Parts: sequence; structure tokens; C-alpha cells
Amino acid sequence: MIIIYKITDYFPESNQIAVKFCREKSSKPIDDYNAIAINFDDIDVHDVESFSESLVDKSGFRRLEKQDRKLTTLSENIPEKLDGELNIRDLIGKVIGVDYPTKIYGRIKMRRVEL
Amino acid sequence: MNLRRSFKKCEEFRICCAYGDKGVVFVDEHEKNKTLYSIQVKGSGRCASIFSSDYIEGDEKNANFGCMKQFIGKHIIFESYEPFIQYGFSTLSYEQDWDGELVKGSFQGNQNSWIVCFRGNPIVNGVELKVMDYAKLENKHYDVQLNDSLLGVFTKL
Repeated sequence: MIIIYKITDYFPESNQIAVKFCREKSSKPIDDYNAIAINFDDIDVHDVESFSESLVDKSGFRRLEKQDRKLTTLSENIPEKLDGELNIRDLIGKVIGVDYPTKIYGRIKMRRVEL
Repeated sequence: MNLRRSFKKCEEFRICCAYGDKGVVFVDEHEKNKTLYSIQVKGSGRCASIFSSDYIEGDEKNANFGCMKQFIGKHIIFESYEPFIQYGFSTLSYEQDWDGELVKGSFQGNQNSWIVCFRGNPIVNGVELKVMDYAKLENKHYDVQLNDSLLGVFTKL
């Protein structure tokens, strides 16, 4: 997935920029999205590549998640929540969702038993 | 490079898990490093405090249970030699020490101990355990059929 952004304004006195984000494959032009103000004190300004990645890391992903939440999910695409042991045959025909990018940190599922 | 890490705080201890590909390197900062024992369930790798050439190796066959107390409170670095799954048993406080060992067979339990199943389906007192099942022990005998599992017992000192 490629995330695109467009800076629409720069406010050097407050060290802020106004930026629009969307997915490259969005069905709407990036200009149709609202811009958000970002203070780039925390943004890596070493070079353009670092700046772009840092901008997307700090704000772009969250913006896209917000855009996604506004979209409706086709009833056929609503994923089932599954966990436990893997049996490929049990998965056939089911719609399964994966948070992406995959989170590095998760919680171990443990079960306390009495012996 | 694929790396996943997960954690679970249980009543008196914490279990962490790392799994990933060959060649994964990760670092734990000293504030977070309260791991007393590591359990190599799959694959192999090595671990050291940062900037030290004195490392310990773990592998699923010959060194699947390692004492990590020498690294407590230090920055540590891990490198995998092959795809791996590694668990850690951690204390909740630097002041609370634990003794840990793998179960080799039936044993006499201790009310200060917990048992954790890291691999396989052992049968303990007639109960078949699954991976990541755990239990508090009592002062009684525990009849164990290991069935090639990895079962750890940890006792508060």
C-alpha cells in the first residue's frame, strides 16, 4: 500500500504545515480530502525521504484509519473473528481480517487451569 | 525480517514471547528486562548484554531452558540463527527472585510455585494441558506424563 500526501500550506512562524493524506488507490482525488495541521517539531527533517516517512508514521496512518472508518463495509466483506488452533479446512469460505501493518506487539493468550 | 512479540501478565509473574525468522535481531532496554529464564521452544539463537562478547546460546534441542539472571537490569540483544519461538519468564519486581526448571517427570508440588506449559500436551494429574496453560501448584504430588512437551515450574524464593 502506498500513502500519498500533499502539503497545502506552510506556517513557518508556528512551525506547522497543512497536509492532506490518502491512499494512492483512493477513488477520490487527494484535493477532495480535508487538510490537517501538523506541527513538525517531532518530524524528522534530515532529508525528503526521512521527512515523508516520518510524516506518514506520525500522522498519515491515523488519518487513513479515520478515512477508512467513514467508509461502509460491504456486508459480504465483514470479517469473522477467529482465534485458536489452525485448521485450514475450517477457514475455507470464511472472510478473515488482518490488521495491517501487522502489530509487532501483542498479548499472549494464556489459560489458568486447576490441577 | 519478521518479528512478533507478545506479553501476558499473570498473577505473580509475566510471560513474554518472541518469534520470527532467521537473522532477527532485537534489543530490550534494561528497564524492561526482568526476564529470569528463557525457554527456546523452536529454533535457536544467542543472547548477550549489549557490548559484551560473552553470550549464551539457546536451541530447541540441547539448550531449551536458560537462566537469564546474569542479564537482569542490563540492555540485552538477541539474534536468531534460524526461525524461532522463544518464551521468557519474568519477575514483576527486581526484588522478587524465582527458581525455575523444566519438569522431567512426576514431582512434589510447592504452594509458592506455578507451572507453565510452553510446548506440547502434557498430562498433569489427569488434566491435558495446551500450550500457554498455567496453574498455581499446591503442596501435593503431581503425576506427569510429559509426552515430549516443555513444561516449566517456577518457585518464588
